[in-house]
Amino acid sequence: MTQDGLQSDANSLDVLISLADLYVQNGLIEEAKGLLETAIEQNRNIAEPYFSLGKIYSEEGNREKAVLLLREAERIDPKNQNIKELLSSIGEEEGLEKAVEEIPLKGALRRELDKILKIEGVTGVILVDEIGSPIQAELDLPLDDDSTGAIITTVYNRIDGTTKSIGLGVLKVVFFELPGGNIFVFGTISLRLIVLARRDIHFASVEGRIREVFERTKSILEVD
Amino acid sequence: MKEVMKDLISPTGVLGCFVIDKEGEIVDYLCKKSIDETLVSALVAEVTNEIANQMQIPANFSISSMAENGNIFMMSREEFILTVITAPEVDTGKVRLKLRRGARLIAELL
Repeated sequence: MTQDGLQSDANSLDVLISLADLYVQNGLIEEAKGLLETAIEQNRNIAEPYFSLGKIYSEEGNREKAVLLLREAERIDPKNQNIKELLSSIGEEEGLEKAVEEIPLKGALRRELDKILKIEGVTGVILVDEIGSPIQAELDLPLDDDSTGAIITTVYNRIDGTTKSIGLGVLKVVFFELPGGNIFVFGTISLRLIVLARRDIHFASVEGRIREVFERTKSILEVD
Repeated sequence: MKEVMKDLISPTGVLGCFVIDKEGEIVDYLCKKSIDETLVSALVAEVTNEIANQMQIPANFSISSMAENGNIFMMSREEFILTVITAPEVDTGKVRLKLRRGARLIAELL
């Protein structure tokens, strides 16, 4: 990376942290968390955004998340007294199971799925694994995302079995045109991205954008 | 019906066309290459019935499926399922238009 690039990254991190501070001062806690999650994703080896996000969780009384983030900050910057003091003030607990990576990962997935949800006429996005277990869902409809994801996955898997039996190979994409709306499903061996849309939304008009998000989702989850 | 089916398989890349009843029996079919029509009809009826049950849709829906070595398009109507199997590289828009028109004509014939 060039010196300019390093400078730009540093500036970007400073701006994100300063803006997050400003949000906190104005009571915009969720917005501040979103910014800090982004800062963590972009700067995984810098302690400051972990510390700032940990501090927010600590002030909210969410000790589990606060300790996870602060421990990570301490691992990166073991001599930082601010981190040590905050950790000791909230008191560490043993046996915390969740990995710190889960927090930014969830944020990254949500941001990707939101890009699809913003497409005119799209009413829901559900990400499930190959047996229909939910990973993430963003819905504008009063639907149970767990059962919807499971039903569509069952049907998708059945069609996958059919294409294999006929000799057409592994299924990649299915779209359903139903009386109540359209459903587009992109699949891999281990992942299904389900997009619910209005009846007048045609596959060709949204395929490219959904495919791009699907590719990024696969890379976030590190699956083929 | 053969005339309708001839039109359905006329685009480049379309390999075969099948009219199947809801029990999975072949009503008629026309193929450019050898395809096991009994297997196709049984599987297509099974999958469309499952969709109808799982999603609680009695009829009148369509499914376009793209797999690595080809595509299968299924159009379910009250009395039959019209299915087209194609190679991967095919003008899907043209196939689906023909499928919709074909389904309407076959419904009139039946």
